[in-house]
Amino acid sequence: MTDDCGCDDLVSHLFQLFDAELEGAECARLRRHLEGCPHCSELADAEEHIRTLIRRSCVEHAPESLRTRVITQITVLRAQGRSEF
Amino acid sequence: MTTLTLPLAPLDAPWHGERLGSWVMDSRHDDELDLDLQDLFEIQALPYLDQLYGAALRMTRNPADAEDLVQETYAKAFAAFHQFTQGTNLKAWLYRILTNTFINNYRKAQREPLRSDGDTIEDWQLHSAESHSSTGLRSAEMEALDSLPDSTVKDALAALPDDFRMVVYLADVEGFAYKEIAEIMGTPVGTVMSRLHRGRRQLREALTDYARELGMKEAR
Repeated sequence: MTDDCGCDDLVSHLFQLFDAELEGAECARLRRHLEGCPHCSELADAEEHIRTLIRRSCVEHAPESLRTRVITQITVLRAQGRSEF
Repeated sequence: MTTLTLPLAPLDAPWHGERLGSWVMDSRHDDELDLDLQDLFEIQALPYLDQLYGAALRMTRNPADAEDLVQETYAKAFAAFHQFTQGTNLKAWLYRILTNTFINNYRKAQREPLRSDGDTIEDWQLHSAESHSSTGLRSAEMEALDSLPDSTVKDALAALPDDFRMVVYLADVEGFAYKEIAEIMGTPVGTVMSRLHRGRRQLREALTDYARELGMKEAR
């Protein structure tokens, strides 16, 4: 693989780069491009913000009623299991 | 102990080893050992309740169905826990049961048509190259993006088709690797990458549009 990485190459591998799904050499090649290309580094910046936003927005806490349901269910299943011996 | 047949397709997944399974079989009449495994289930699996509920909410798009889905997931996981190999990825194993249960119960009920997997990697790479020029956000828009309300993001995710929404959630929120997502969903890695790329592109375009609108309003 050559050292030369264009914007198109960066764009089509941006998700994989952020997902840590690329080999070290390819990663380094794309990162070198990012350092020298303001347009692509802006894209990468936006991608980072979007990922933080999505993770933040999807944090949920299970309702206490569900926690109780699940624990009760396990207790019942355990009791049924014991009664079979 | 009750045994439940699970609709988990390929049995060659790394967490499907038989080590603990045979251990339980050997000790079926040893109450103490069996109880240990059940204790282990509570200790290890219950901490994932919030996360599984979050995933179930995104999948079903409503709290009542999400609660039922999580409860059923725990019942199936409890019954199949002897098949789980200690030391392998429990979170992925639980997500696989959750995903299978969702696909089998809820998607059938919703009668959503299955998407064709005809799309290729070349196809999404072409699309991403095309959207190159439209993606860059200015700093005002970036600030707007950061301040988008949670509900906007959830609505944008909910608007994605099931298959896309699930892979995007598993990757962007849960941080699973492509290979893990493929095992959870029972699809080839190539399909995961294709769906992920298309789903993300759709989601990011929607969020970027919201941010631009918000940025413009604030600039006025």
